[in-house]
Amino acid sequence: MEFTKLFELIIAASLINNFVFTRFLGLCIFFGVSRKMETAVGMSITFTSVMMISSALSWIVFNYIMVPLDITFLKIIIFIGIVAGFVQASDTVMRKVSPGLYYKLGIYLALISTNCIILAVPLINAGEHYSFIESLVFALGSGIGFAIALIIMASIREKLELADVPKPFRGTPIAFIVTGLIALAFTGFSGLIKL
Amino acid sequence: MFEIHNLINDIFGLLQITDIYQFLIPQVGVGGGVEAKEHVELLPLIKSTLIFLAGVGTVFGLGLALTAKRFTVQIDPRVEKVLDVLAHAH
Repeated sequence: MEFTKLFELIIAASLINNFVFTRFLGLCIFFGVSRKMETAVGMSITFTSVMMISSALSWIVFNYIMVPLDITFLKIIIFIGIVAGFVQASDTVMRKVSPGLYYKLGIYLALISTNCIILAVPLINAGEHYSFIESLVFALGSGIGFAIALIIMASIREKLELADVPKPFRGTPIAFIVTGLIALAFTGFSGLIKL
Repeated sequence: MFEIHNLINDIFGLLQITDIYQFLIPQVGVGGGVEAKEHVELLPLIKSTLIFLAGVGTVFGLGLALTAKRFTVQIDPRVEKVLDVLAHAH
């Protein structure tokens, strides 16, 4: 496994094909959580860890059970089931084992299970025939990309609270406009790496 | 009588009624879900699909039930009673 290939994969997943600003996925969590920096950071940590573990689980199920049985057409249903089951189990375990962590990050776990980025990553892994390490690295890169997006947006929105925004645009509308502008800026990364 | 029989055979031949199974049972494969395959045996596919889905359901169901049992959190019933009396925020 070449190290440069993995590094390229991280850069490609986090910056060039950023899930929020280039593919426009997972916007419900993005707008819901980016109001404060504290929630944005908590969400990105939870999100990245859940994404890596669930993509590893779904890679194992896909390559060792579904491909030999020729039932790859079930991947959407199975991946949703794996993510939801894993999130529910970790929710239950976390509540008992570490209540402090649960009260900090537990509210995001229920949101994550219905997110589309968390479903898109295993689907892309399956479609591109990534190896186990590659799919883990791709999940890490997507998580970093989502974290970058959330932190950029949270820092801008905290400043926007003080700005003199016209009344009809206050709140979510100006956030959508700002997201469009950042997405325009992120097109500058396109063509950086040819995979 | 023989001519009528021939006629019916001709009509059926024209409609290619012998290939009716193509329409009754959809061909999985091109345009289906299984990639890069011209033809797929349908019955084994359905069988393995059902077994796999039932297995996944059983594993997840049992796993979640056992985790819920193993990691139950005791909640004081008085907390809920007090919360019921108090005014709700929503």
